[in-house]
Amino acid sequence: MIIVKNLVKSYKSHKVLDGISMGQARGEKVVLIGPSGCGKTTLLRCLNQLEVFDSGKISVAGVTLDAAADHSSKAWKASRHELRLRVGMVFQSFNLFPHMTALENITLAPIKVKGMHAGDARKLGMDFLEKVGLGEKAKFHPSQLSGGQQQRVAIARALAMKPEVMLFDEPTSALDPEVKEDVLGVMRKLAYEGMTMLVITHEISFARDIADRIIFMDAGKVVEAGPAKELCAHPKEPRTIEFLSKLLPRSPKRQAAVKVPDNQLSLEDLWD
Amino acid sequence: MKDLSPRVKKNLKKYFTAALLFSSLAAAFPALAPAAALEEIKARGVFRWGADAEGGAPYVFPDPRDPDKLIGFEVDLAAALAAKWGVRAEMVQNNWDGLIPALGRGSFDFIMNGLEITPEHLKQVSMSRPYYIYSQQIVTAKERKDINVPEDLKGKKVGVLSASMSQRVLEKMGGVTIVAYAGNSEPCRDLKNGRLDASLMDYPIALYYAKPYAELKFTGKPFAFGYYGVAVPKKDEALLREINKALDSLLAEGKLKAIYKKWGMWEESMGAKMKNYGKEDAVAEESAAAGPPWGKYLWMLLKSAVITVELSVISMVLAVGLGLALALARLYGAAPLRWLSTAYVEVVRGTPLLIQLYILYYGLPNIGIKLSAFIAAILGLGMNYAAYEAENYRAGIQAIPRGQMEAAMSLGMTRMQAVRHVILPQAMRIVIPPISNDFIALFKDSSLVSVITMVELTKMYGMLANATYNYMGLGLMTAAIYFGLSYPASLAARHLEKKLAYDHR
Repeated sequence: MIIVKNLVKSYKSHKVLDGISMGQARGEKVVLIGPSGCGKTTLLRCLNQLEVFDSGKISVAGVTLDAAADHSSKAWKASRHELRLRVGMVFQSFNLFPHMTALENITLAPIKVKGMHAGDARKLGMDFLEKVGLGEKAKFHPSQLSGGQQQRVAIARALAMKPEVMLFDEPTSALDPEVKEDVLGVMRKLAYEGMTMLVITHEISFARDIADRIIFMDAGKVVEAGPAKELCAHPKEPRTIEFLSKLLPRSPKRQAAVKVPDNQLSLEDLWD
Repeated sequence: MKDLSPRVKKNLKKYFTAALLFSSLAAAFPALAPAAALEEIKARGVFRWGADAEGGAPYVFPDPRDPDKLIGFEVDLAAALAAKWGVRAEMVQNNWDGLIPALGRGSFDFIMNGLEITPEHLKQVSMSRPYYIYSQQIVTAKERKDINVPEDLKGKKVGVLSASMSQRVLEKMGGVTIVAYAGNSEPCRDLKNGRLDASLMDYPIALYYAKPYAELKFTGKPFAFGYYGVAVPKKDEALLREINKALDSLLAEGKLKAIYKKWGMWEESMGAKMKNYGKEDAVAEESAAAGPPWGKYLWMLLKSAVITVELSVISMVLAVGLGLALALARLYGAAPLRWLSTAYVEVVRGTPLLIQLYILYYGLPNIGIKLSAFIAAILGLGMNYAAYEAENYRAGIQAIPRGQMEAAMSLGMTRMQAVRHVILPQAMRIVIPPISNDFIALFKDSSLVSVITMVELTKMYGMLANATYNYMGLGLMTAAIYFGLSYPASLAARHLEKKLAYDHR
């Protein structure tokens, strides 16, 4: 579903991505971890073409973009558009449109991009709002919602475009601890439904729960990758060990969260 | 000589107008200036006379060869008076419209600057025997055959100097479409351009401003004779007697004739007319009605306020639309568009609106584009304010966090869709306060278009106040109309701002 080959991206002389290669199968959930500035966010943004990469190649949900191609050509722009239609993105800072209600935030793109009728879009929007547990907030503006509620609307907004892959860029790091679980719950539900997800997060317990694999990045390179539980329990690379040791003991609450059973989850259990 | 009223000067004049209006208001209160009898002048060794060098040739004007020096027949006359009294003459520059109020304030001893002896003026000041007899001259394009006598002007478009005797003569005649100009060279230019059928000017003015144009001609004989007199404050009868005595002897000695001959202004009939002058000859204009007709003034002011509103609203619509296009071109356009938009904003913002108006109205006809005054005014104001609105929009758009554009693009929207549905609606709310602020500024700036003959509210005030010397009452009335129009506009802007608010916290 996602193939990244020798991706390089520099800001001036600084190489943010230094020849990254990775792959992800349909339905697989991958968590990207790494110290800040390691390039994980840049990688995610490249996959959605919010960043242009210098060399290498990506292929997401069947759309391939090669850095060598002419970026101003019609074909390239069409591919980029297609890519964005197939990839949903959730930002750290939600980026909801503040002048619209929660429902309007969700229906805007289906109406304008897909040409959906307003009535159909509204129905679709309500379905997704209910899916994230905010059906009764449809007419609220983002400023009237809590951070956790806003992020759930943002997830619904991305889902309403029926993407094949969902990218999450630190979706809970701007949230208070007590509402983080609301958002993580929605993500768990999504994972359970089989969505292909690539997630950047510092919630290591969450990663352990839902991720099939964890990729540890540092200085623009993949340092170590492996099945989630194994990588957490037995990291091999010294830099991974150092990073995880900083991440894990600091938050005892997270340790507790590990106790959530990781199989046979019913949807209802996930709410709250 | 025809170039004596360059644009630069005119611009200065306009900027001084605000100050002038203010001082005129002050002058509406009783003046407490000391009496300046001749003894006092002699003791001082100098007399000060008020005039406006911008009134131009041949009265008082800067010598084209040495612009530091003022020349003109009134300068010569002042020198002759000074020689008679054995003192120096000192000219005090004052805007012509404000000469009488300034005299009341004691800014100078007397006025000698083409001030007509009329019952209206005599109500304000005491006036000497005439020192010149002037008349009105019709000027038309050379090929014009249908205008020969004053009656022919009826139904025609005729240019005059604003608030001049020419204007009053035409107003009294009735049935003439009067176009009032701030200077004397502009009506000549518009005659040449074909914007006017004719122009009516004081004879000496016509000599200096219209004669040099090969395309123009004097039509018919001078008519509507009138008298220029020296004006002194009402209580200075002693000084007035001395001035009359001096003028009498200058006339008898032939010195007056010599001065006017030098300036090409002498007519043989003038000598006898001046000698036999009696007070009853004071140009019998319409005798003033009992008490000022406030209702009529208000009606005229309101009518011109409609022009002001039309001008402001239409040019603001243009400014807001063009400004948005400029801002979008600068932020999202291809390189040449971006460059053009930046250049437009910098050039238009960096040059005075007045120059732009002059170029649009008087300059464009040189390359064959003749705009009506109304269109030129709207284009001038609209295009000028568009530069400011473009910057408002740009600031508003740039204030929207980058994440908004990214979120929209990640949902598959094109850049233009994102701008239209996500960025602009948010930016609008930010730019409404500065734009409504600009609208109120434009509303008042619209008075600048009087330089291209638009008679809007401020111009109408100026004309009425000049005619009646009622600066205070009319000024308050005009200010009240401006406020009455702009305050609802700012209330509406506030309402709109609230309506667009989405921050319901």
